[in-house]
Amino acid sequence: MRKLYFNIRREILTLIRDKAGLSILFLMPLLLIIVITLTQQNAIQSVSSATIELLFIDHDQSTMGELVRKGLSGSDEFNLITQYKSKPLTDSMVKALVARGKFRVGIIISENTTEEAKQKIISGLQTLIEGDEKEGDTAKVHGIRVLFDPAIRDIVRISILNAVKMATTGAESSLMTNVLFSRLSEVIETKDSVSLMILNALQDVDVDELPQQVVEVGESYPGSSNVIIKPNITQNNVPAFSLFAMFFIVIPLAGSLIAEKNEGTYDRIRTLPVSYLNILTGKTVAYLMVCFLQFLLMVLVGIFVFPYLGLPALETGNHYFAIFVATLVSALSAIGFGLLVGTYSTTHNQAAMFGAILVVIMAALGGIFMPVNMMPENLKLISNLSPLRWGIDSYLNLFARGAGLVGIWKNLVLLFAFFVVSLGIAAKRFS
Amino acid sequence: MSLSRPVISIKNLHKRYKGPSMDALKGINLNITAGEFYGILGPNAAGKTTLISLLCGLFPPTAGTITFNYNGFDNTPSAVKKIIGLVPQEIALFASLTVHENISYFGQMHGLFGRTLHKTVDGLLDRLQLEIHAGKKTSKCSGGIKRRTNLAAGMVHNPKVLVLDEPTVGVDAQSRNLIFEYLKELNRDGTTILYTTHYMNEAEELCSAVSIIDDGLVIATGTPEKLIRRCDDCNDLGELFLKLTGKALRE
Repeated sequence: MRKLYFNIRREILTLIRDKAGLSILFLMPLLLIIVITLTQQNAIQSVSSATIELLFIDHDQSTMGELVRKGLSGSDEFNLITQYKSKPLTDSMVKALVARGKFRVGIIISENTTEEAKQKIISGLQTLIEGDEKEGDTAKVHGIRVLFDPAIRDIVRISILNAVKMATTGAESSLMTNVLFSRLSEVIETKDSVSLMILNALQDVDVDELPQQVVEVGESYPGSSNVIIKPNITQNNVPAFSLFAMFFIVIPLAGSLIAEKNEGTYDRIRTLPVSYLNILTGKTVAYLMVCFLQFLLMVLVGIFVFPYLGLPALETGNHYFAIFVATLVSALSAIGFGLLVGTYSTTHNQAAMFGAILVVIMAALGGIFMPVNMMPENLKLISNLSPLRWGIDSYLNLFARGAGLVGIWKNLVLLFAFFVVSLGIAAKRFS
Repeated sequence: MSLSRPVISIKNLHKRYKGPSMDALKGINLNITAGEFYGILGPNAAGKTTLISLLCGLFPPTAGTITFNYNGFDNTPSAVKKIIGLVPQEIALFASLTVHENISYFGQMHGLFGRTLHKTVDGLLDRLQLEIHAGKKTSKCSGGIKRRTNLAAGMVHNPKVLVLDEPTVGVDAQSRNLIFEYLKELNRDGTTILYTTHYMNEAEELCSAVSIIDDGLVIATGTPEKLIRRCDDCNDLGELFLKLTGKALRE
């Protein structure tokens, strides 16, 4: 243990004295999350091309439900799903599927929405004519609920919400026309004095004064815990880019292994009465500390600095232990990757180029730049092999979906297994 | 100090590397007695570094044995690592650590801690005149300081057998003299030293016995004086070496 302590100490001294390397480890990732988050905040237009799968339940089974369904399915952007594994969707299924991130959006049209909306329109028309607003007239019909995966990107959420609102407004307009036509029919058929009076009065009404947005499109985020975290760019970017930054320790870590190999210290170490696993464990512990510091710094910037930049502050939820464990195994996985690259590279430049590019590729496959569910099917499959995907999914489950250890254990096992295998390969190769 | 008992017996040592068939050692036999200052000489690619690597347990031989004959010594790789000190040809130090930290680290890996470690490191710094450079990062040190630190790092655990692979490459006359004085002192105190060099005058000055290796085989063994005497027209070890190994350039 004392030898391990001295190995850790030596690695820490080496790290501390490498000022340029430290700046890469700490300043570059900070710059990265700030710049990318600010950029993405204003980049809403890029979402449009992919088809988004929407879970859709129509309890209304009438005009509103039908018109909203037509409004959404008429667009190439959405694919409406009404069954899952050959079973008709239920409210609880939709909630569960969206909460787990299996689907990003669910839409539930409530029972009697059309009827209630009709009543609201009629009552709105009467208020308009009589000028006497009754209690409850301003209340909307709670007809449409949109359930979002808490880890959904803000720009995607806004885009979907706007589309649903447009479809609802279109449906409301059709309903209003129906109501007016039916009144007109009544006037023609019955010459009812009240209806005639309404129609006469409507001649003087400005279109803008007609009842509008009578059906509320409610938004909710069915997470795994009681803590409700509203999806936003910070909840996605801070954990994801922290992980991205962690994997960049491949450069100094692989560099230190290569330097030891090329400068003869590796051979000298092998003549010492200490196992190479001990040496590698020393490296692992030292770099683990770096990863934790990196992560802490990122989280603190997300909580305290982002609001000053006009960005939403990071919310950490209440699963602190799970966040600790996820960070631990993610960092170990990043270190394992560094050990692998250092083991098989022969020069520092080779490791820097190979390691850095591979991290970017793994990050892209992991969904850091574009959500995995918007990728082509073959890429989705490949992304399952990326340790960054396992890490990002874990962090999104924790930070956005409010999941605990139970919700992320599979990914944690994969990350830890990756570390063990990498360490084993490096130790075997070196000894 | 006994000069008769062989403490290192090397028998029929072969080493073949993987890849293109290449025998680095083709059956080396050597007996090195306790307290000897033993020179291993040879041109480039003769097999010197391979022999040293096998001796230090860096990799196993293809055939043959190396036995350390110390009382109660079990010849396991971990036991061998405790009694051997290697001073490699490269400056095998951690560039970002100071001279003091480097020497201490190698001591710590040999199980030295606390007062014993401090006393040993301070003694080495003093003996090799490194005290005023102790706080300098080795990357900032001159070649001579690096060489002396490299030597100290291999000596910090007071090994029974010290293996030096060309320890004076690129150092000035003063540093070389200091290293020589220190090595002679160690040898007088009973440390068995194996020394490889390309400088024949160094071998002649320091070594009580030498073996000349070429193409993976020992081609001459004995004290420098005896070997020179055996050769009719050789005045020194350098002339003998060229006569035995030829003047053709090697790899």
